Amino acid sequence: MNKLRDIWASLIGVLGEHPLLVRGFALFPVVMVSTSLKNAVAISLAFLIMTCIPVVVLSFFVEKIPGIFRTPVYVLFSIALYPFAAWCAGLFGTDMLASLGIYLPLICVNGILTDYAYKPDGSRKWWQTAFKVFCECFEFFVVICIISLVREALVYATVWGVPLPVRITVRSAGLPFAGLILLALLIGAFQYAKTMWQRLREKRAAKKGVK
Amino acid sequence: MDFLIYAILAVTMQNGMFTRLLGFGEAMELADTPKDIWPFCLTLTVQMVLSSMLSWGVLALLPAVNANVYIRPLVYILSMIVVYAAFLALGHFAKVQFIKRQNKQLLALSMFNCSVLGALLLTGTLKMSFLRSIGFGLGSAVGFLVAAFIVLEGKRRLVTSQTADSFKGLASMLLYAGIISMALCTLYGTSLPF
Repeated sequence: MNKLRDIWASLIGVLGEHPLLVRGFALFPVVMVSTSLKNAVAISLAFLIMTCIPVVVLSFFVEKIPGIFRTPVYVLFSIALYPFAAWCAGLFGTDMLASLGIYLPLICVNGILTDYAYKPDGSRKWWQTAFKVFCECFEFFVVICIISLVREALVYATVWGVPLPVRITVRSAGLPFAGLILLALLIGAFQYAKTMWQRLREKRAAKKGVK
Repeated sequence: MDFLIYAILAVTMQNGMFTRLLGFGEAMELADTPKDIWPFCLTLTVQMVLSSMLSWGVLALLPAVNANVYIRPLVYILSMIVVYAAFLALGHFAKVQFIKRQNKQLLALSMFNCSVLGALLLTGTLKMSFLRSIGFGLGSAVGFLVAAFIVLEGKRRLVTSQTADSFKGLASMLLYAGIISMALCTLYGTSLPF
């Protein structure tokens, strides 16, 4: 029961400190690659492989690696997994590697990974680290999928390649600035929902206090 | 001439931060400590220029590796590590004060970020010549410096403005970057030159 409560508390903690929507980590794939839902799923899988595995494996030795060498070690481990990640991403289409371009190998220097490298938490158990980094990758997946869904519908009038009944297209939604503006709107909505949730909790707590 | 053209392209139309969002997170962090911008950008410039020279040399010597898109990024990372190690060795053995005094976390961040790797990957994908790749690397570093100052100024002004609570911080900064990116679109049209 206590373990379940720990997991729930850490899940809420990770959600509140969303690495992408709050701290602005790993923004480039969300803006540059999110022109189709297939791209989003493929890069999320590659992101999971190139971020989760190095963070979890190196969490066993992180204390033994001197601080100045941690970032290169994490980055090197991540890029070593690139061929496998690229192969996995390639399962979503023959031209997937071309459409993901330079953004696929760039995952090895994403902010989430480098943050684990220079701010390691030795007190955390391996499964807690694994759970946290998995949640962060899942959040990345959710954000990139939302942005991709909107952009694919606007640019190509399709979703996962399936044509929509309405054939109106907005080509400029495929440009980087559209991704930036959509992401900013999503962050605004997330912050609003977070504030509302906090107020609701405060109200409930106040009601309980009165009773 | 090629060197100059590619350097100018990297600062303006190909500015990594506003066209590809490379290094935006780093620039946001630097905006909180403006005194670190110059040392950060200086080490980033050294890293970009030296690692592009080194990786170009290695890939020219090993054509089989150059042709393999799965292995090429590893060469770039190894080049970056070699430059980083040389930089640390200079600080440790030659007692270069600039390196010794630098914040080690910031030093690692300036050496390993998507701005550096992004520029290297672009030079490799486009099979640039030696001079072009150095010009592009140098231009990307200067482009990062310019963009970091634009982000710093934007953050300074947006903090004091009456922005809606939900849009304070990262959201307003992304809108600001989006507007600059939109302005750059008028230079390159509907798709990036490369």
